[in-house]
Amino acid sequence: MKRFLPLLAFLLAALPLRAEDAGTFIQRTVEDILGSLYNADGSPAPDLTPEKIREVLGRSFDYDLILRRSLGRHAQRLSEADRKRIADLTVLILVRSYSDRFRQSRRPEVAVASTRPLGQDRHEVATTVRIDGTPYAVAYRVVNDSGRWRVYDVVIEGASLLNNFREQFDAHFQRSDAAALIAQLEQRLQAPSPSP
Amino acid sequence: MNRIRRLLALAVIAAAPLLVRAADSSVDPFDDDVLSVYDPLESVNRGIFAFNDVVFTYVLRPARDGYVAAVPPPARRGIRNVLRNLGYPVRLVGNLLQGRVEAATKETGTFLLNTTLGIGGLWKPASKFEALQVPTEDVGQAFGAWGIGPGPYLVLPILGPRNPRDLVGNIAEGFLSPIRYIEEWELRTAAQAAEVFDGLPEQVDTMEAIKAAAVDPYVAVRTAYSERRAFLVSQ
Repeated sequence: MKRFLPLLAFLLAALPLRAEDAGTFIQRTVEDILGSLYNADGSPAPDLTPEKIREVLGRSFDYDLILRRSLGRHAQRLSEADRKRIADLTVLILVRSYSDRFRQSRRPEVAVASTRPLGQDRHEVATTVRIDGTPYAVAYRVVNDSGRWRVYDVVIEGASLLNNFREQFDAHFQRSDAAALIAQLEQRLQAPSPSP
Repeated sequence: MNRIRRLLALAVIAAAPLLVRAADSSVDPFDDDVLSVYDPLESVNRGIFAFNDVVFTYVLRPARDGYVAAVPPPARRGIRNVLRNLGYPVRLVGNLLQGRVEAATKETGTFLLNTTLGIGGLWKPASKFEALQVPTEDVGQAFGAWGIGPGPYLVLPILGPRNPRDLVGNIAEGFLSPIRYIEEWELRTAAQAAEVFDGLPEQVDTMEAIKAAAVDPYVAVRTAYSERRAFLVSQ
């Protein structure tokens, strides 16, 4: 029995005291993301590319869930290949259009304000983001997927990214199909990025 | 025959919980605060949106570029601070109409500090005091807090997205703005022009970002505007 005690002690020590809550997850995630995107002095990292931003956000954002929720009832009508293509293009377009904003600004200050439950395993974490001293209300909606938190929506000053895409996709599918959507997204991606 | 009817009735009763469950499953558990926008004038709105896009591309964007190039950032910040300070009556009335006496008092304190120590609002010494920080309120928000709904979504020429509730609020705010009562027309016109140019950089940047990322920019703007106004009313 004595032989097993050190092993037991080691195993207990390895277990976290309690599961990470949604607020702590967002605080850690935001620190992780900002740490990757900005230098220690607050200036944007020199190798900041849309691909890098996509990779960094992908560590905590559930792109697949975001797209499935955005497509809503139309998701069932699409082939797996079309769904994947739409997901890839949408994420690329979003990241590209916002990467310019990251490049222009200094590291924002982010503080977690509160957390509220939205349903089973889902929470909304409200934060205050200060960019050049101006505060913005940014909320992250997160879901606990088998003990692992994932971000599935970002709500900026009350405007939900997920709802916005859901409305747009819904309007599109009421008058057109997946092929037209993919063509439109590809065209959007080929268009030159708006100059800041 | 009666026996068959009874069996059918029993089958319906037995299936009822399943039907209810099926109906429940159609409720999307992720639909958090989904806002349904009433847009009966969509075809007209889309036409005005397209017109505004032309104005945006050929007038507002070059105007923004000219303003940013001609006025250095510290001067732009000063202009913004002064204009925000002049917006005090709107924020005061917005708060009072909602019975927010404490917020109205803080707005008054902010106005007095910025006007005196901040030299007419050029600087914002009040921003150093956390206790004076309150959310910005306007007349449209107050109408919303009274329970008045937004009404149908509108796109106005040049002005862009609005709802009738906020449009009435904007008209009322026009009468509350001190700029309206500046007697010298040259000074009044300059102040009004400053108001227009001050908001341009953010408006153009936001519109560019939406256009670059949206599948349907009209729906993207409609959803974002409506959700933001609903959010401000709920604050």
